[in-house]
Amino acid sequence: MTVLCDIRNLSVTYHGDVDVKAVQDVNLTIRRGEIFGLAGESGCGKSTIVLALTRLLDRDGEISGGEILFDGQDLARLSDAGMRPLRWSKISLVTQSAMSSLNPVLTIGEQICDGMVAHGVTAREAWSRAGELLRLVEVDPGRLRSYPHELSGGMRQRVMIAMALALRPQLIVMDEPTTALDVVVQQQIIRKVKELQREFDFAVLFITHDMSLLLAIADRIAIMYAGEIVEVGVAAEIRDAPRHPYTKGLLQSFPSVFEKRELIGIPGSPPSMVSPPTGCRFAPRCPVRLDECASVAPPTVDVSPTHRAACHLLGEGGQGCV
Amino acid sequence: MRYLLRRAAFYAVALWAAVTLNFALPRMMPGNPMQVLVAKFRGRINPDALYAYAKLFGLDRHVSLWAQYWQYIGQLLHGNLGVSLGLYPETVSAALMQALPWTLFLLGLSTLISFILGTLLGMVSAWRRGSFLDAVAPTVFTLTGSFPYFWLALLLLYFFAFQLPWFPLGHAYGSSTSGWSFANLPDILYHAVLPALTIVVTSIGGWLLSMRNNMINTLSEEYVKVAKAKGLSDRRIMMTYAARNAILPNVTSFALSLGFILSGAILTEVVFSYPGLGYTLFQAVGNMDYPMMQGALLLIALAVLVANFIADLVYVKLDPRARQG
Repeated sequence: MTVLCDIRNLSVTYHGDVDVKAVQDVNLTIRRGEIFGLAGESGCGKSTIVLALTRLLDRDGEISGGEILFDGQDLARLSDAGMRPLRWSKISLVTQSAMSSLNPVLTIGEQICDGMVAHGVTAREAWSRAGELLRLVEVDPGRLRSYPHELSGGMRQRVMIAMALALRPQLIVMDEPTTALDVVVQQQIIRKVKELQREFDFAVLFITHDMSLLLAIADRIAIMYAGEIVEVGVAAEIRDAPRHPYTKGLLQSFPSVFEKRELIGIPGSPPSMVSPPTGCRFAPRCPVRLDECASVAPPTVDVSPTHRAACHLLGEGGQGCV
Repeated sequence: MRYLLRRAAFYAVALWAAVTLNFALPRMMPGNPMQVLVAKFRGRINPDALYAYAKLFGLDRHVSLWAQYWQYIGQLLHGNLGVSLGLYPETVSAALMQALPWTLFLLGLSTLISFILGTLLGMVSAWRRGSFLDAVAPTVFTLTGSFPYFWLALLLLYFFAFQLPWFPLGHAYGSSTSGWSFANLPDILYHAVLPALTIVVTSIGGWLLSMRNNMINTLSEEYVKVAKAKGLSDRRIMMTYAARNAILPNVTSFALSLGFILSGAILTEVVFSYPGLGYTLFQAVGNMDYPMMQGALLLIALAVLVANFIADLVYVKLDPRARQG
């Protein structure tokens, strides 16, 4: 599988009374046609990565370093005008709450169509395609004339997914697409996404704080903590052999249907991003920290060709936190 | 549809309440219009004539209040608002109908201008938050909005009509023209400039600020983010996604403000001797002209109700969520 999006040393800073570096030197690659999961606690910077990648940062947010190479272009350096043709046609977005991501005063049809029309599809063509898209996500095409408030939460999220597919993008960014839905609907949506992804072969960047969900859907997973990526690997490696103590903590903090085990949370809370700890940012909460963790930032170590983690325990042939 | 029917029923009840109150108010006020009439004729009026007038004005003491009430309602249904005491023998409805177009024209036009300009400025200020426009417009118009409008009216009158004779000192039209006609329009507009300016300048700030605040809220909505991600044009994002939602509360207050048009600018009309409803009401109060006051108040109440109804209709048109209500 070839690389579709290569994020190199990405840093994002929010300017304010104090500047906050919400994302620090992040390296990620998303390959064509894969579902790439990004997990972490609230406030760890995963949504900021989404905003940087889709170039939707607010005025006070700035890509302060690094590159986002997408299909040969550096999105971090593109002007707004240069970015516009790529929007929706190459990268589309499904946001967290389908409640608020649809404009309440426009019909579903109008909202699916305007994105297509903005990219040169004729209105008539867009409308007929919108009907097909709804059929793809198993929503009655008659719903094109409905307003968002007339649909259930699950239907709205299906509509969002249909909308995101409209121009056959290469990458669909899904920022906690199922958080606001109940578990049954969540499962249906996830199954639908996988099915569509197999059919149309787009890549998905799937953001969530729900590890069990991510293990079910993602091909590869990155774990983020306090603005940094602490571990990346194939889903099975992350599930069966997590190397970073934080990943391990995350995996132990949700119940499993298959085995009976004790739920262990991670004590403490994430550090303030205004003044993150020197050394390893997880050190203050880490159950297995070493002396050097507080002062020296851990290097990123390749555990296998597809698996790397940033922890001092992995240094000099160590086994990490197994 | 059910929503509108329910609203219509509500307005019927409100109208009845307004009419009843309107009947009761003058009868509860101190003073007696008949005494005013006697004073007007300097006592040289015989008791028979006085009794005839009392009957004419519906103030006959020998008729019970209940009967007066039904008589009043009956007359209203025939469009009969009685005879003016101050402008006797002119009827109230004739006097009001003469004043109404001027107020509708002056206040309607200036409220509309103020609403459109304020909303547009508020929209653009929020869209270009932190820009020069955003720094200047809200501040300036909040300042002008805090002027008492009659004071501003006096100021404008003094400088631009008296010191610099650019505009007329008052009235709705010059001595050579009278009434409504297309040929008179330039003259009528010329006379309306200063009073309209007063109203626009003092009311624009409210529209601007509320639109700006609503717009800042909608701009942070998820659907605006999605609209940007779709690569829509800035114009469409601003108009159809952000402003279209931000304007909803403003439309309601606009329709409500239309209701106050008829009563809203009494002082402006007085300062500019503008022959509108406010001026007429002002004179009626001075003359203890009860039928005229009643008529004017009823017209104002009616206008508020009609405006509310329009607000409901427009809101239903603009916000699909209100259609089920």
